[in-house]
Amino acid sequence: MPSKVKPRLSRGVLDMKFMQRTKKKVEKEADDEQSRALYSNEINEKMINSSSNFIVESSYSICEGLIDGRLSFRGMNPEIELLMEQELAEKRAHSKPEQPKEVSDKDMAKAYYANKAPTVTNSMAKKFSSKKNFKRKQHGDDQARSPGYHPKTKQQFKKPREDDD
Amino acid sequence: MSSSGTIVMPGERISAIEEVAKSKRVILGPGLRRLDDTVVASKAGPLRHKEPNTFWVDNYQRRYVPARGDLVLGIVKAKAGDQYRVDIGSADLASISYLSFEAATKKNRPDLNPGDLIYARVLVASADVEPELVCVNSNGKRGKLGQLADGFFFKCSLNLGRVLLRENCPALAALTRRLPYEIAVGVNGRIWLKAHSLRETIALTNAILALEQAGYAEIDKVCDNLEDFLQA
Amino acid sequence: MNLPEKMDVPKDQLRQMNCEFNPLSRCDGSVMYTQGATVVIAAVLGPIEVKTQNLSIDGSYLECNYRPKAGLPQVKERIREATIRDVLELALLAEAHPHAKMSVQVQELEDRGSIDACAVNSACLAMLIGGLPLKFSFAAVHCIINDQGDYVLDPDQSETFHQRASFTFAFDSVDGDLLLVQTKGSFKIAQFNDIECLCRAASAQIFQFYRSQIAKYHGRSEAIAEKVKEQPEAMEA
Repeated sequence: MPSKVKPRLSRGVLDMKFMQRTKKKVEKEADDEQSRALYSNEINEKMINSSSNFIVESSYSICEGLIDGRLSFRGMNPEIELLMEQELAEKRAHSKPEQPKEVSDKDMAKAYYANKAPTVTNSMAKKFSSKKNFKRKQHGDDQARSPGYHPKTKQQFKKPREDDD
Repeated sequence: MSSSGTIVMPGERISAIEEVAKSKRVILGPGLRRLDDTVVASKAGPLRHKEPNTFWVDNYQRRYVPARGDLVLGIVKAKAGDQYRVDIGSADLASISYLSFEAATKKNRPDLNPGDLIYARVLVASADVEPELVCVNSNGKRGKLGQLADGFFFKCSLNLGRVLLRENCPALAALTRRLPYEIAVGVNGRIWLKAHSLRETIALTNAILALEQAGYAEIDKVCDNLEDFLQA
Repeated sequence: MNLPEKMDVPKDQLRQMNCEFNPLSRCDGSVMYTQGATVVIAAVLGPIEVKTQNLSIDGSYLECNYRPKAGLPQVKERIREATIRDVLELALLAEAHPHAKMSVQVQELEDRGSIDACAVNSACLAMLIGGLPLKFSFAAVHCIINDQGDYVLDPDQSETFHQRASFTFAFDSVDGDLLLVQTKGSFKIAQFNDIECLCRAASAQIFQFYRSQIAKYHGRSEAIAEKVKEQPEAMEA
């Protein structure tokens, strides 16, 4: 029996300044317990444990997917018509399938790094490299990272591939 | 929009929905209620189904029962403290705080008086408390909501209101082929209409109310007859 | 009025039923219901605002009024009113609209027998068309034992002058439970059981009538739904 009883902090301790947060927590726990006790005879196991597949929606407009009822036609109220157009455009954008990409993400990344874009890792690494080994490091690292890199060759614009129609 | 269209009566168990519910979540609309694991109708009418998982019972109810998210037309009845009391056709008057309008502050109140018409969204709708409206969206912008000035106001059945607001409903588009106009249709069976002249307004009103009797099949005919209404 | 007389109808059949929905414009749902030559109009309002004295937080308050053909309601009408109210209360899903009132008005237009059953049935139809939430629909059937000891289902007034006993039963549509039993006169318990069975069988016919009438009334909207389905295809074409 004694093992079941939870140790409780005394009031004197809880009233101390640094115990305020614990005090709040203890109070909330007591409150919860009280409310549980209050409704315990009304709430049964089933209500707590049942997972339902039903969602109740009492609005016809949501169920039927009705449109907004504020409409204007042929310039009666330009403000409303603008909103209607925006909505229509939004809907079109949603319903249209995503445009196929001309360049795949992989190719893009490859091209990006091949063109030696400044990356965060590079610029951060630069910060930590000392002046003494600055030049050596730049050469060695970059050559190791991108095999096609030649510091002597000038960067040129790469034509996109044309064979994928 | 698809319709199974079978007529259900109150108390009828709908096992078709229970079957669907075994595999996925199901949205039960108005006229359906859940009793433990069974689904039972509480209203009489055709059972409707919208893909993927929404079911409801259609009916010719004339009394509006507020539901969260509905767009309604309301008439301001009174100012009460920091709220307006608005008649939206439901059992209780709805309330709207004067801060629920665009750019309203404690100093700068919206200028609304009893008798004014507003187009608003139902924010709180519960059987136990009175409904609450708002005239702004979540960004604090008024969008299409707010006061409706001038124009003409009339009532129709809830069903007609819903018919007009269905996607690809040809009625409103057909009417505008003849006349430019501006309209606000509330799902609480109230319509506000504004056209260039009184005569046009009356013609449009008559055309819309004729739909109540006619149904979709005759919509084109009603629109053709619009000129007759104009001459009358 | 050329309403069919009971004389044409066999003794074990209901008289012809007919109804017209929403003949009244100002209420939330109304019906004119005829059974043989008996005619009633029922109207419902609801959910509407309720007086504080009748307000209940558990469910809606149900109000029922019965008006005779002429004059003010007397004791007889009050009893009928209470009967209808009792049946409606059992069927109404009151917890759906707390803080509200449901009001049912029944106006007698012509009483040519079975007025109790007609009033209950018309109230049910009015509730159905008014879209009030119900646990089940219900149907009432009237039956008498005439002076020859025969059972006459749904009698015309002319057949009731020499009746030995009269019965009105109401049944619910889901479990077929008895909602209302009214008896008058002398009879044996075996006769009571017989007549209950007879009425129960007849109630199925009334439920079928309800369903077909609701279907007929929604026929128009059915056409609308069809049209909506066709519409997108028409646009593509």
